[in-house]
Amino acid sequence: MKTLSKLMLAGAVAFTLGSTVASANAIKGQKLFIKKYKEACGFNGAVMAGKHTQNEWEAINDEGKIAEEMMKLCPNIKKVKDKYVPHLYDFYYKYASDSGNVPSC
Amino acid sequence: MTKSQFIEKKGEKMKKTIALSLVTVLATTMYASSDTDTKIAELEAKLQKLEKKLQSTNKTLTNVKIHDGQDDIKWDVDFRTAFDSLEYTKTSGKTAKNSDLLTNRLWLGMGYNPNDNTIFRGKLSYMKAYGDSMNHSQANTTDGATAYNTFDWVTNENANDNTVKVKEAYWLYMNDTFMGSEVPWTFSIGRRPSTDGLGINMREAMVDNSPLSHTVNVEFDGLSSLFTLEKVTGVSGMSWKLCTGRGLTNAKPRFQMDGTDYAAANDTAPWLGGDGASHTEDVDMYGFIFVPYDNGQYSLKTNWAKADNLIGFNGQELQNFQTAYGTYLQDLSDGTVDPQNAINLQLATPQFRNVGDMELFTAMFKAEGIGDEINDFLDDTKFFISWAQTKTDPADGQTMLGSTESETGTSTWLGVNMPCPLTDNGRIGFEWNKGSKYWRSVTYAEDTMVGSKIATRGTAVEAYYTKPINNALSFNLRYTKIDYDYTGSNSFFGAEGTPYDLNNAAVVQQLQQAGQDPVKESTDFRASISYRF
Repeated sequence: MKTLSKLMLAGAVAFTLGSTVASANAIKGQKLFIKKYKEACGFNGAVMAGKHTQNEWEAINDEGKIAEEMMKLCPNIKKVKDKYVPHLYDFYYKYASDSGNVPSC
Repeated sequence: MTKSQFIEKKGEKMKKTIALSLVTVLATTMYASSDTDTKIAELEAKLQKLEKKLQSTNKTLTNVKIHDGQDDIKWDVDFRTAFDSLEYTKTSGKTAKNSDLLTNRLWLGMGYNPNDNTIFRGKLSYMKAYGDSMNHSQANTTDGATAYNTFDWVTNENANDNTVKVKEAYWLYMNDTFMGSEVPWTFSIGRRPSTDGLGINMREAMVDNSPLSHTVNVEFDGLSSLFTLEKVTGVSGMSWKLCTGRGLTNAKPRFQMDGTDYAAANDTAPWLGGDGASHTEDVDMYGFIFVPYDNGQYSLKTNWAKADNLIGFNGQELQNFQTAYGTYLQDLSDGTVDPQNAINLQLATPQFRNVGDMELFTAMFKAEGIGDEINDFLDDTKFFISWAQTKTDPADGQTMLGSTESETGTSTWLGVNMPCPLTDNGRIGFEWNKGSKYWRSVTYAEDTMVGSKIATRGTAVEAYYTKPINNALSFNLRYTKIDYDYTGSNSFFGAEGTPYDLNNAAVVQQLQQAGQDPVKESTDFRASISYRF
């Protein structure tokens, strides 16, 4: 292995180990919605995300009411586990009605 | 005191009281008036500030509108830097390696929703090796065998130069009902997202694209139309999707000497020793993806496709070339090259032929989490098993995969992706696949530097680790090992894809005597960092 590669590889590993860790994941949020709530809601995650703007989702999340809002929009949802909320919020925020992001198809 | 004095005194008291009251009222009013003035002044100041802020905001908005008002595309970025260490071990025991292949890959994703029913998506891409040069001569090597490197199917998967190319560009129409029925549907035309489909996406922590990647993983121009059937059938996630398109065109480029621009190619000209007839046709593919069940956790997906007029080398022509090449190599070995042998080699260079058609089928079961909240680890563990089959249908007088008969190949692929118990948010995965003698997938665009592991006629194993660094950066380690049982795993569809048994010493000896030394085993260790946002 040449010096350039050694340096780059060592740098990459050091950078990875020294960096802060992300906690939430929009893709995981999307998968969670499909797996846990799509059937109860009767629509896909992009529709749920589009129910609010990014500011609205942010405000709802700041108040700790993501689960409550989901149950309001989908009365068939009985419970939303706390550990799912960060991922779901990331997904809703990413595909909010004013996000301009195009849902996958 | 007289009554009049009493009244006078009381009047004076009242006067004093009234006077005092008036003074108090006046004082209070004056004070109030002073307070109101202060408040009004404060409000005026605040208003002025707000007006200034509003003016500033309006100015900013105007600038934003000027900048973005006519911008009908929203961009996203996927930029990856990768380090690959490759090693090939040939049947003779000789090795070929590159201990540090460095590449940059950039995907500029585009998307726009002009209305609720229509989407545009696109992807510009370049994939370039560090230090690589224009037109890809692999920089400072002398190997001239680069003709296939610009092949359209792998334009964005081969390490090329720094040109940005279109990887995806298509529009998609969608509607909640189809001819009055409760069938949501889509229709899309363009350069479709036909690489990195379900299965192969997991090792890169990517969202899966359209096809099942066990049989199809190449770029493709065509159309697709999805019909979601769950509402009318009551079966969770049931859908049917038509996919069709053109993989290769037979049209000539512009500015033909004889004025026949874009006519079907006449690939073997008389002055090159051919008969002037066209030997290839447009390579078209059509098929469907049927999902019988998908509840978001457990899914079964199937994919059937038929590809017509596939390309490959004719068996006799390939043999003539190999004979001429052997003679030329012998000349080189002897130190004197007979000019006629050099000419014979050039004339014997085989051309692609239309060698026949092929059917491909895949069935994949996937679990997005095992069980129902048994524990967090199983909830977050993904597992899939996929089985696929390919079946050739040689054209008259041609061989496919070295056989004039219809040949069937099969492949099995298992994968698991789970949380890494040693690191926060890290994930590890293991994959295994095994392909039979005549297995022939169309997975040339797979993102594996030593060639498509899914195409392996033999056994491939892989272990990987992915870790998000923050919400934009992620780190990936991957080790792939392929052990080939037969030759031709990454070939096209003609005689060059003949499966010679690499575990048969006599066959290997014959190949080596004919000047061939096929790869028996290959490995690829990769480390990469990706920015995706």
